[in-house]
Amino acid sequence: MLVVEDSPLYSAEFFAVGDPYAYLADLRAEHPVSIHRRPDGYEFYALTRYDDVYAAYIDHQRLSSSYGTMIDGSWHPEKDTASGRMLIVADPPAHTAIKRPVKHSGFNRAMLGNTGRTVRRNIRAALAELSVGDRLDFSRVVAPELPKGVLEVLFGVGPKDAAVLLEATRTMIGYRDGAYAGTSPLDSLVDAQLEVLDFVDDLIEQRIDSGADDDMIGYLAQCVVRGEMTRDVALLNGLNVAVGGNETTPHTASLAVDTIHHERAQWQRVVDGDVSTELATQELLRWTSTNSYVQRVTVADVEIGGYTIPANSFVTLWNMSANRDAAVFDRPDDFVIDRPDNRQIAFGAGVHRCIGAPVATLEIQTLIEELAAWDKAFVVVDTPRKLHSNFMLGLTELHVEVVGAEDAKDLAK
Amino acid sequence: MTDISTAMIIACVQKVLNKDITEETDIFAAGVDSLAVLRCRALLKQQTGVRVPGHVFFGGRTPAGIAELIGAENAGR
Repeated sequence: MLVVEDSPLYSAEFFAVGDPYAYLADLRAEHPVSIHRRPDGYEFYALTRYDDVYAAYIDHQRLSSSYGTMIDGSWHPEKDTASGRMLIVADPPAHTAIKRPVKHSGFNRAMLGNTGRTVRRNIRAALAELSVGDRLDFSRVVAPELPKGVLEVLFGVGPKDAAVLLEATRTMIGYRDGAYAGTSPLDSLVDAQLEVLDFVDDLIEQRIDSGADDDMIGYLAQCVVRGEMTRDVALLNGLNVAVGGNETTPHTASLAVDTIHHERAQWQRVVDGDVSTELATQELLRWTSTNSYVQRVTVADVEIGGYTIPANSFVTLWNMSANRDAAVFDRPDDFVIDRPDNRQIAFGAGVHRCIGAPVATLEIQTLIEELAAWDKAFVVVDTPRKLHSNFMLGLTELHVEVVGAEDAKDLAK
Repeated sequence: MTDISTAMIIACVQKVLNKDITEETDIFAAGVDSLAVLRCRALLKQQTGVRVPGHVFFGGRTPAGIAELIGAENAGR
């Protein structure tokens, strides 16, 4: 098996300025299962083929989530301190017990409808502010409107509070990136995390006092009151949903606008109504693969892709690589806006498939519906700045100019 | 600005962890995690009105170290 010393897969820099897709394509072709080491002794196995990644997701018994889903999330032999108490780092049966109330209260049909309407209202309001000739950073002006709408509904807060919470979660996940964290990244991470916890804890306190259960936090608070859930579990999962929702879809939105800019002829088919927004959304999710990988730990020897990975190993499942696997996708390295039978795996698979996947999909679809119906369009005017992270593929700057829809149509020719 | 003493920090951590510690105990080795820091902070704020930044706990690590950092951050203001 290939062993890579000092592997670029650890490097946030490599994902911002290098070509991780090309590197992963080589691994997929020659070394679908490989070992990646860092000088300090950290080591993980990397799965790069779709079938292997899928198999690892499904085998949640032998591939545990309890050590955190990010490299450095926790260290052997220490589990994440939230292990077993927060969805993303819990294995069944604890996972099942937490997932039920979170899914029921946050991601049911009525909530989804309400979320979609709020997100659409926010996007429309943001676009309505813009005039032809305006220049703006899409990643800061429009993209945050998506998760803001979700927070307003799930957490039952106003747009201003939602914006404050967004700022804090952004620092938490992007703490290795100077754009968010300033000069003292670890201090920023710690302070931002506590700010989010404080915010959610205050909301829980309010809902315990008022008895309201008409948003997700309220429902979890009433679970606490009835003794079905500890307050810490309610708090940790509020944090989990806030971070999961905030730090993904805005990046997908920015990458989507950049993709539309580069694929304007294909995009015009959506504008003209020849390609459905559902199909386009699925391809944008495959193409952007915002969450690049997740990490697991083997609790037994596991055979994957013809190799045996011993117990007690870190294993990384590369979504971004699986989504470019020629064994599953025709022309995997081309953006095909009407790709049929799209089996994209951007949200993972199995019991840990992103609980917010339906909301995230709706957010992106709503964005592209509103962009397609808009009488204007965005043109990218400067090289986008990529987020310095190997975990989230995103943009911290996307400078665009507003042009008339007819002018954009001419650009498509 | 209100001073936050080592003794006050010890009292809060003991209350949250429900075990005895000294001014030189590494509070994270003693079982403090992010949620415990959150509860300690809330207690200190109740008593003094001051919200201690989270990184001070992680930087100070012991009640004495944390109190010293709080003093240093205040002096720098």
